[in-house]
Amino acid sequence: MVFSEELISELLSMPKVVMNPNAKAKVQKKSERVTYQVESADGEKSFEMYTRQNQMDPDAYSCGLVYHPKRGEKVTLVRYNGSNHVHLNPLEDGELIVNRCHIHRATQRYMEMGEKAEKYAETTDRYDHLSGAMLCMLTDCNISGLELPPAGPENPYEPQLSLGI
Amino acid sequence: MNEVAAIKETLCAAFCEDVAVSARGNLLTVSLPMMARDGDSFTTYLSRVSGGWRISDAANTMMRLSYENDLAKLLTGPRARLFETILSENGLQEDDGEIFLEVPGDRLVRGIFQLGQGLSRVEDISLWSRTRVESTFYHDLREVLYATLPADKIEESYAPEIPSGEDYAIDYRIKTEGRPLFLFGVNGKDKARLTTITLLHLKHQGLKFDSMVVCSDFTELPKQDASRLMTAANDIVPTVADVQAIRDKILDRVS
Repeated sequence: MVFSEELISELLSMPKVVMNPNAKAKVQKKSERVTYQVESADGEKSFEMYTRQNQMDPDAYSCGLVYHPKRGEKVTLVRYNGSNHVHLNPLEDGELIVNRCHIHRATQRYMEMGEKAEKYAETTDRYDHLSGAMLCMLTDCNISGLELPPAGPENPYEPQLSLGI
Repeated sequence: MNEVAAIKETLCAAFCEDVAVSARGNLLTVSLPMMARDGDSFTTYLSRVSGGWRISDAANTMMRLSYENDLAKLLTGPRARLFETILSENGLQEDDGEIFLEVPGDRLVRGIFQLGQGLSRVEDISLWSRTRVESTFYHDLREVLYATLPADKIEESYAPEIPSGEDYAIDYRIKTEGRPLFLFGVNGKDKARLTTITLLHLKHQGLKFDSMVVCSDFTELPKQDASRLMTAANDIVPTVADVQAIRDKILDRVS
């Protein structure tokens, strides 16, 4: 199924509420994970929001919003990534994003090419840690009902595991 | 400079441009020009070990898979075996989600690509959704049947001649000289239960037939469901991968 740009924008901007704001973090396979259930304010649409923090590389983190349509496969609408890896936008002349924070966004043009919906990404300087990325996502995607813990550059994430370098 | 040398020089220069080497804190990373389905590259993390290098994904592959999958469910059954096969074929090891290998000092480049190739294959495990695995199972079963018997011997989705027969459909009715062979594909507990109910009902209705069940993975079935299915069916092939067993058992019934 291909989503139009209008539908993607509508899904991103519609008011949404986190249904389980007290969801617990758990560590699984060396990353800390939290998954939230999110609904549109009118209760008609279901989403899932997640955070991931790698325990070995502080710059390897992600938070994203996934739409669960009533029919068809789920679609990642956005994902806010850390700066630990390189990203390539193949439809933008192979534009490379080299070790910078970037935001993936679902686009009609990539879906029409049969690519993964959120394959396109743009660089950003709006955050440099997971809590900052979450704050951006909550604002950008009109999501309420979640109080973020006080964290940020003043309390930088420290990797709990070492590569032994 | 001959043409081959020129091509090599061009490729080497272009390749180096596409490899990103980064030092962040105590982390040394190499990003390969190999992209996952979402356009993110595979990043390898290097560390010195005695006599060589440890090349790791720092558990990022598992983290990436977890974006859209429940890892506790994803890496079970056929997919878990596929994961183990990929690790083995690529000479990789796993430590609680971290995928890595160790290579001698002069094998660094080859090792980085070896890991990258393995990570690319591991990422594709997410494509093996339950629906797709089920679809593949029925496709595989059908192929084996039609490779074993002439098409006129096989009747698909057969509704037995009993009241409300369409509610007790048989995946394949295979014509024999004697009693027909009713063959069912079972790819999980729900289908196992349905097949058990169908077989018991057909027997209760007085139909004369032999039955055979081919499973996607018999060991995956809950113990009670497996036990009931074994009691109801004449014959079971534990996995569709055992093509020879399926053929032998069918031909034994047909001849």
